[in-house]
Amino acid sequence: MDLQARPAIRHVDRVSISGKSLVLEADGCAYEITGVDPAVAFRFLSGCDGRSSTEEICRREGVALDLAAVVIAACGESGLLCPDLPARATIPAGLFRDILRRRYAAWNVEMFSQPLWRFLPAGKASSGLVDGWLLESYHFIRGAAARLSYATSLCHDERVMPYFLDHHLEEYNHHEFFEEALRRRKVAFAQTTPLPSTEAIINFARMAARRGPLHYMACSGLLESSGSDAARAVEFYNALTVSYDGEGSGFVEPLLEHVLLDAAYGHGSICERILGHFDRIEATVANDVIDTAAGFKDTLVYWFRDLYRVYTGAGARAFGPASREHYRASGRGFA
Amino acid sequence: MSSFGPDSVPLWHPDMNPGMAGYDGTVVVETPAERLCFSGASAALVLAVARRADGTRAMPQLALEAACSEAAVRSHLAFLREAGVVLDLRDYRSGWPTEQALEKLRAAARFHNLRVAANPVLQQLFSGQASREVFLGFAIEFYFYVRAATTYMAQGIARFDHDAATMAPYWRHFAEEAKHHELFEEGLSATGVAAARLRPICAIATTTALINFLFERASRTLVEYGSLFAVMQPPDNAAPGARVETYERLRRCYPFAQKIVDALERHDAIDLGAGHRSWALEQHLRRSPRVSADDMGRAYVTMRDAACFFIMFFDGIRDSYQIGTLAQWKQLANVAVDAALP
Repeated sequence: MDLQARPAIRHVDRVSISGKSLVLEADGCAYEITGVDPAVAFRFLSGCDGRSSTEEICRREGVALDLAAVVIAACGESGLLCPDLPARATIPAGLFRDILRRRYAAWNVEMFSQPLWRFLPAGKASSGLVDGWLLESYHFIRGAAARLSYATSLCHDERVMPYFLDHHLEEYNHHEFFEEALRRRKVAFAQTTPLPSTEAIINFARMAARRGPLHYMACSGLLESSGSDAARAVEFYNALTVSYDGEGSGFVEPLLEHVLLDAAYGHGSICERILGHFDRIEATVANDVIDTAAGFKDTLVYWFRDLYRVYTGAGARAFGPASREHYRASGRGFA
Repeated sequence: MSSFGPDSVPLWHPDMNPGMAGYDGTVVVETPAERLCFSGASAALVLAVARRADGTRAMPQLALEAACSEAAVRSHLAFLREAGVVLDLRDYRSGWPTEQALEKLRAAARFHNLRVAANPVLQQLFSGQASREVFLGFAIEFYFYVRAATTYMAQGIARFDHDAATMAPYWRHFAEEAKHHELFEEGLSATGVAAARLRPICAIATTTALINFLFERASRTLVEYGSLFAVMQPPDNAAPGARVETYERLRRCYPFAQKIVDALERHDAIDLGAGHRSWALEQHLRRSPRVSADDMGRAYVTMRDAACFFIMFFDGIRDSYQIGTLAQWKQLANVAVDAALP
């Protein structure tokens, strides 16, 4: 084993210790490590970021060299780990696009396995949850100017700016689809305030725009990657009609219209179109862009959880002008 | 404080709901400072009003729905407002002479500070009952929050071009806070948290949400920027002995985190010594004889929303750090790995 080599593990989507084994899930594969103390194996692997040498990792994490050698050999053979990562200043833009696509696929699984997305299409959501989901979606879409126009104003890269501008011009009035859906469900939305977690999504997108044009692009790409499969969206909305529109209000119709319009604009391919103008991307920028998009995914996951929690059960007070006054109230908090 | 009138919109503190005590029909409202007991007709009124005073009903509707006379509701609410249990939202929809406005804003600050103080995660942390993972998670995320002064406070003071007398307290405040995160770096490092884990990109989603919220509100108006500190720097009403006792309890309960508790105590002491609990916004508002309805609304909404984002911050720590030691790991992207392992 070369002590000066710099080992690096793949991007891991999930990690868990199950009994005497360490399980890491990466790129759709599950890697199970057995025969060594899983906590020690994890300590060693968590230090394998391609920036520290094997010797440095072992010293810092208190891991024996012979154990490190076993883990490196086993994980290198299975393709989980690169035993000595060559440094790279840049990567091809096409590779960057493929990395983003792979991340989006894994992130979409995580996002849409949240209770909100399991309950809605299964017909198990309460009427309040359907209304709450529609209302918060309305507030989010209404924030298109705060996100897209802001990103346009901050973008000084001529290869990217026209896409943000066009996207804004194509999206700025799409809240009207949600207004119509809310009207058909008889939900009064004019005096409502979004959940703080809905505001957090808009604020995160704005922060991404301040970090850089590719940062914003990657967040926008994640959003569009989840809604760009028009056939699946139609199936989802049809399920909503069956389960939640017994009165025949047709509240789903404007939402379907919205999805089909977005599909016609080709919003799902924003990353491909923008990155088509780039030859190579600096590795440090690419890393920061991916980490920013990962943070956006975490914020979306939090949003879905918050939305479900607030509008399920005792969420009746979540509607109306004083909803934030009651946000996550603890009841008798000082008893 | 002005009295409750027909256009008052009472808001009962959502973390101080009344409860029945014993078998004699006594109704109790617990505040951090005292235990308010109501009996007989008052008990029934308190129960009926608390449920309905949700910040959406004006006084006549509230009295009608609670089946009580307006006069009786008014006298009870006036008493409960003094105890910090009730706020009149109408107060923040009108303009007022400055001293009256400040009194109402201080009441809102106390009310929303207690929204945060009632958060179960914060109570668990400071009562010494949090797990090792949650306390360390809190220390890491609190570090990110303290460090964020270099973004939102820097933005706040860069954004506004008022005269020097108005801005000077804000400039000084930022100068005194700008490097406080270094106190925590030392404490976290002594507890074994790697420097790489303290890169801002490693903050969890709810901490990032709080920091982004602070940045956005610091970008709007000076009133909104100043109002943020009403919730971040709560008014100092704790006895010095109580503060010492708090940190001693934390040291006893979290022996693995002595240096972190030292950092928390030093941070608190520096803030106290620098007078950060006195509100720069008051000095700013006192320069006019009246505070407009717009500014009252802006200040109130900022305090209310800051409380929401702090509650989210604490809940996020519990959600993210209770899974075990693996939560301490945050893998950052390295595209060189993706290139090497297609």
